[in-house]
Amino acid sequence: MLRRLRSQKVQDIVTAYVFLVPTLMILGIFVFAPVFYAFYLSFFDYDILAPQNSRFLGFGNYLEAFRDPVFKKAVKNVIYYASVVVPTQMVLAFLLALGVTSGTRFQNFFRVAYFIPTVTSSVVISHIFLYIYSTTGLLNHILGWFGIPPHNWMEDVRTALPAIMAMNIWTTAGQYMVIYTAGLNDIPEEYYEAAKVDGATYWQRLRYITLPLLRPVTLFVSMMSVIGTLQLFDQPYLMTNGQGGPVDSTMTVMLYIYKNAFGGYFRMGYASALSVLLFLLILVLSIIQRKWLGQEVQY
Amino acid sequence: MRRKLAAVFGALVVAAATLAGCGSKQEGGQEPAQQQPAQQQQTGSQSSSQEKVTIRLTGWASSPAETEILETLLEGFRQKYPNIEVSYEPVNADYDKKLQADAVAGTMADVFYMDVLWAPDWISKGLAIPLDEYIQAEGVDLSDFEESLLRGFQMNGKTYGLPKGYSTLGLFYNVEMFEQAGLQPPKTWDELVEVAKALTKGDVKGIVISPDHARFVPFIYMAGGKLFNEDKTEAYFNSPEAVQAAEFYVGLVTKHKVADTPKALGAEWAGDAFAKGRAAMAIEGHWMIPFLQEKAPDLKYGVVELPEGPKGRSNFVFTVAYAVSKDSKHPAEAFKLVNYLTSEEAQRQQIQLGLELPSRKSVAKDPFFADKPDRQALIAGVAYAQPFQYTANQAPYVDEFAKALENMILNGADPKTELDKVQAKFEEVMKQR
Repeated sequence: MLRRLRSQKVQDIVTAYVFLVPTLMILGIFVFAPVFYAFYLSFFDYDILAPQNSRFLGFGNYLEAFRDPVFKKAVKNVIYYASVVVPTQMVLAFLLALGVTSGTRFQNFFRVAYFIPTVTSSVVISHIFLYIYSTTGLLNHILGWFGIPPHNWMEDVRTALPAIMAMNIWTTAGQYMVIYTAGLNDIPEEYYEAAKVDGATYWQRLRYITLPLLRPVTLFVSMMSVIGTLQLFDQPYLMTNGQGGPVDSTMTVMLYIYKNAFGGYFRMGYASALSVLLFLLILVLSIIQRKWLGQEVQY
Repeated sequence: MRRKLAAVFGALVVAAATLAGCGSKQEGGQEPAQQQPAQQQQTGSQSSSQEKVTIRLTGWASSPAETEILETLLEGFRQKYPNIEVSYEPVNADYDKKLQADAVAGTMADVFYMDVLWAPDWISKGLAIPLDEYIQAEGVDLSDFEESLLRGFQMNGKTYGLPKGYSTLGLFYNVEMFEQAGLQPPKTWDELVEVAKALTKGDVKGIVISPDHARFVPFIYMAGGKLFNEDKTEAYFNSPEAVQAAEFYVGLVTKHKVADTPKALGAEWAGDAFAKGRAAMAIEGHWMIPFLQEKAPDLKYGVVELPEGPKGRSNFVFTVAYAVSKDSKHPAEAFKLVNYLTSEEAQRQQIQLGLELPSRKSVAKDPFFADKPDRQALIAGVAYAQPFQYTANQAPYVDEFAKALENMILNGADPKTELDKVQAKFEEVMKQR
């Protein structure tokens, strides 16, 4: 009997793995192998068009990254970007979610309306916003009604990145609103009823029931948001002709990696090293967030 | 038990199907290479004298009109060489990235467009093969090509591509605005400032200035400077002449306030600002002519050579060559295509379309240009132009160059400090390589 059980278990495992083979192969070839290969390449000076000239550098690429002013500027930019976008986006998404679950009329209309920017291609949105931010564009036109002179938003080092931030908050808030909406619907109605019976005000219910019970959702949203903002690429790429300009003010880590790998710098090894550094940055921030927001709340 | 076996079998089928899928995908990737010998055998048995080969041609397609004229030319080629088949594979975006991927995979097309800016990179990394023996075999007269174009595709005394066409920069001016102000197009730097001053009124600036090295570099030469020494081992980005040129170019915006950037004028690029009538002058190339025809057909414009600097004239020439790739199995036949597409006959057909200027001197004398002073002004520039080219591995320091110009024009940064940074980056790149 025991033997029979064991042999059945072995068989189960074998069957499972046979079923997993296709997935593992695809993941292995297109995800795991490139990841490890990138890690390996980060120790070399490697030109994809002339691989025969590659040289082993040890930690040379990493040392260079810490001296590279463009990389430092890119890290500064994404951290600045994340520190503004993530909190704003989360608060906004949460408020929108409260709004669309409060049972007002046209609730579904608003849900769809807030979600549309998220499903719209970032290429389309970037181009629309280029028009909005243009010197003769919509934003300056509206500001003109209040007597504010037109400003060249995308060509000013102080306003180019904030302009992209504003755009991105608007785009992705809807996405996190949907996640918060799901989280809000998951909170059992009984808690609120009990609290009401005890005489809790709306704010007290929000503070002591909704927010603590939404903690896992908040963790998820903040992690995704931080990862997404640190990997910012398409909007600055599309809105600055792939340059991260003016004068690196919208340069992001991903954009700089792309330039080094494919943008004519022919420095795949250096790009790989920068990718590893970005990975470490995201890893550390994710661990901190887990520590901070990760405790489960039970009632 | 039987059910279990069935499950395992089912899983195996799924796995096998996936594997088979991978297999066929790989074959698909190698297809172009395998296709050629197969086709050779096929047609070889039909026509006994010569084997039929297929030549692949790739390039970017800037407009449907360009694709169309190329197809017409290729039809002529097929008639002339019935045993060479040509397949044209245009790339619509990110051409240089596609080419890099093809080069790594060993599947480059036989004949490809090589931009003069990227030529040093692609030649030094072995993407294009030297054409000298085929040039001799076909008896191509290189002296008919404009020297400044050909120079962009020559390295260590060998020729790696034949230029298909070109454009220089010219000073485009709005005829109506000039007539109203009673002005003549400027011939020198000083005149440029004066004229621009007179034309700057209200929303209109005298000239639109792009923070772009592709427009700025000729000014360095006009000031008597240069970018590189003869063998391009040293650069002079921060020479006193370069600083003087930067002070003049940037000064139009910052000091004289007679110019602005395209974006500040609410336009995508300089040509756009000019077409919208927000600037009376623009420094652009031949591509402006079809653009203005389409966007502002009523705008009356003229083109003159770039104004003369304190140490003479200069210009930048933008050109693209047909090159034969390292992966070509039939380089001799591929060169026949290159030769045909750059021949006098083909270029005479192409000029009618008006997309670019002909790279052959003989074609530039075509009566087509006789009554076109705008194109003549651009042709005149090629005699003293520099190819729009730096060195191999230029992208990092050229990006620094672009940033320096932005910093000077948008933030009023000091030219010398900014150009020092470009020079430092150049030296750093050269040390790394």
